[in-house]
Amino acid sequence: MRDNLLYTPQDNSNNNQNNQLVVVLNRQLIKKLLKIVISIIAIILLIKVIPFVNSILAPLAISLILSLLLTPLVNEMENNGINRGAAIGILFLMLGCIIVICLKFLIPGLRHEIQTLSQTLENGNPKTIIDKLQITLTQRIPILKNPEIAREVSTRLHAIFTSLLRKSLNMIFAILSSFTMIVTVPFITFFLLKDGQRIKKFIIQCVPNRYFEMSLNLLYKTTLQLGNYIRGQLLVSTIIASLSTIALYSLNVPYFFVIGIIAGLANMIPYFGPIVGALPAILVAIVENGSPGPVLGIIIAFAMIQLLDNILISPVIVSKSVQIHPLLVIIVILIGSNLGGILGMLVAVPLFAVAQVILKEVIWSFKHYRLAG
Amino acid sequence: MQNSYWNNIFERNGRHQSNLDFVLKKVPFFSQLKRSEILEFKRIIHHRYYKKNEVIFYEGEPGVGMYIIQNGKIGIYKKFDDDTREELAILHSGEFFGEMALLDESPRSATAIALETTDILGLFRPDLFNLINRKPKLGNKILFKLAQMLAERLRLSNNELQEVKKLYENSVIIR
Repeated sequence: MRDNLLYTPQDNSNNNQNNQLVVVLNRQLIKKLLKIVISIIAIILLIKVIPFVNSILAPLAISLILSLLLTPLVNEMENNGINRGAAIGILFLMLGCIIVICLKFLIPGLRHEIQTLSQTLENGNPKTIIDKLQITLTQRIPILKNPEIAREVSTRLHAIFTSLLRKSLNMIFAILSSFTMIVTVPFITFFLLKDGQRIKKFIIQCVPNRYFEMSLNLLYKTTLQLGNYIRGQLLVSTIIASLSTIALYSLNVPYFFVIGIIAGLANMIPYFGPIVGALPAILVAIVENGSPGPVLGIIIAFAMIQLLDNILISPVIVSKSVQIHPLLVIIVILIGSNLGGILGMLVAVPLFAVAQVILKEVIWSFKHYRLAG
Repeated sequence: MQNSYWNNIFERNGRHQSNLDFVLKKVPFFSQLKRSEILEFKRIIHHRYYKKNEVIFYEGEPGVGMYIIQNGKIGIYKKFDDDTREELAILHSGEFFGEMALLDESPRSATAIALETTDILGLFRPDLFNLINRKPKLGNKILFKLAQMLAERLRLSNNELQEVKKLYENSVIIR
């Protein structure tokens, strides 16, 4: 006890060490507190900014996709001696002309098809459509002759049809009529094409030295792979849409143009896309003809298109690096439909593929670069 | 401002630009290029600022491109660790390193570390390939220079190998 009260030089040094430890601990505590406060402020700011971010996210995403699609064309024009700015200007002019031609010739037909379809729905005709479908189905499946089952099937089909078509029509018109998109997308795309290199350089400039090479590699590799994937997917979809439209037209299926586009878009979903694409054509054919006669022709046409896609089109165009397990595709589609309805279902798999490409590259980089030290 | 992070973001237009042309002209890749062609390269070159003892890349990491020293001093080491390091070269302003990475992604053959506060210019493979796509004439000039340089190095290595072989054979005869 007495020893503890004695003052010795050793005690003094211990006290000094303790004091230093307290100072260090205090500093660490202050740093931690500061980090917590900054994090809270950042979260609050993020919440405040999210609505604004949401409004610019869609045009930015579309512009990014467009710039990835158009970059090879601009590079090719620059390769032929045209100044980059002028090359983008010429490309925009050409695209503008194509859009105007589409508006003049294709859109009225498409609009007519959509309007007829929507009028059929709005005038209460879905009941007639469902009734026709029901009669055809009861002829083929005897169990449906039971009035209760028939009523149940009729009600369910009616609900599905109406909500599905109304949602998709609303979605198409919402996208087309969005004025801000029409103005901002070309504007952002122009600058992404012109100053893409500078933007990348600025992003990389903000990366700390230790992660610099890794980030540079990651950015370039993901851009390259995503560009190839998106270009490939869109090209395949366009080919499938064109082939489906031609096949449906030659089979005299009504709304061939709309259904062809749906088939092309649905083709982006692996395994299930072709079924989703063929289903509207089959349903429309049954309803319009009142007999499943042309169904066989449609099935054969879609099967041939799929065969052509699997053997020739996709292997040549789409990168093989993006492969998703069928089980994962179902899960991703379900999550997509829960989050964003039909649009969610359609974009879920391509978005997942994009995330997969990025994740694969991030994991590769973490394995190959020495990040500590 | 001694922090390399903030220096990389904010000081690129000041000190970096002052002797840039002079340094680039010292590098064989750029020595024969026209003013407009050098300007094209300036657009794709990345400026980086490193503090003393900061590592630029480690041996074994995938190579992305080459670096040119604008100001400062860089050490190139084999088997770089906390305790051991085998010095290969000390490089100064105007000299360059890592040029093999312009051709493929093979791992870096040595570690590069800043021996004092250093400004370096980075030229990277994806940017070079992009330039070749956009401006094939200019890209070919650079690739030809790179091939010439590597051929020269191969010739030197062959000569050194021959000399070592002769020395070895002589020592065997003497023994």
